[in-house]
Amino acid sequence: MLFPSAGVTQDELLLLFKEQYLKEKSFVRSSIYWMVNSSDVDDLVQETFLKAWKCFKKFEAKSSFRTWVYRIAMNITYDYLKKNKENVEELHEELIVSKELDIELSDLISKGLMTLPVNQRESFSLHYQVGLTYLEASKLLNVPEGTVKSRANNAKVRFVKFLNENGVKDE
Amino acid sequence: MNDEKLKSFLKENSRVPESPAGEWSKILMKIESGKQSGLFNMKKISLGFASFAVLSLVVLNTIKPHQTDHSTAKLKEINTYLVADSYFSENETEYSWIGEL
Repeated sequence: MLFPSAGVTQDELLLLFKEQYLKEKSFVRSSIYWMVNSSDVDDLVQETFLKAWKCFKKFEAKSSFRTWVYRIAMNITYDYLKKNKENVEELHEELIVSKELDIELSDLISKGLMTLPVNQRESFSLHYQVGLTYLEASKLLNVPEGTVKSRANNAKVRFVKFLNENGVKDE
Repeated sequence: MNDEKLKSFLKENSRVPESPAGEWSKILMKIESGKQSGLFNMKKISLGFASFAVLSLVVLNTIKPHQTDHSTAKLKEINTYLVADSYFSENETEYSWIGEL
């Protein structure tokens, strides 16, 4: 899609931007959520679209809007993870404490994801949770398809092992 | 656990929380406030520049008269010295030997 930013008024540009927001907001939201597993996802989504708006005039459609906004989202997400490293570690510790308690499966999945290294988590969630093919994920991440595949598979092994250790039986 | 099983397990047991109501309005509000703060910054820059210009003028005007006073005083001193013509009268005795020839 082309963005004819030349000769377009600010209001028209905002309408185009809103169109893209409506199209990609769920994708951006789930991509961020599976990386941070936190209620801060609301702020991070807003921050992503604000940043995207600031650069929207410069968007040259060399890649799709989805790829472009995804990279903005992941830059913000990685910054967030760096700043909140201690909180993430606390979440992991909480799991060890609550191991004997009956925790919900969804919490277990969230915590299992947080035990994965970030680059593995990213490939894993894009493929297994967002539902992209390895090729689609590789275009988003700008890495070879094989790299995405091996990261996702390594993550899968770790994740399934984590589930088994926490009482989820492999059927 | 094979890929398909894992995908359906994740789909059944985990979900992304819904977007908060009025998310676009919030983004729009921030976009608008960003525009305003941009304008506000421009105003602040202009105001700062104008203040600096006024201050510079005031400072320059305060310094300038001092310089003029100083140079006027110097000129007056030179003028007085020249007009007074005290050089010859004061040094007359120095040349008195000429008269002795």
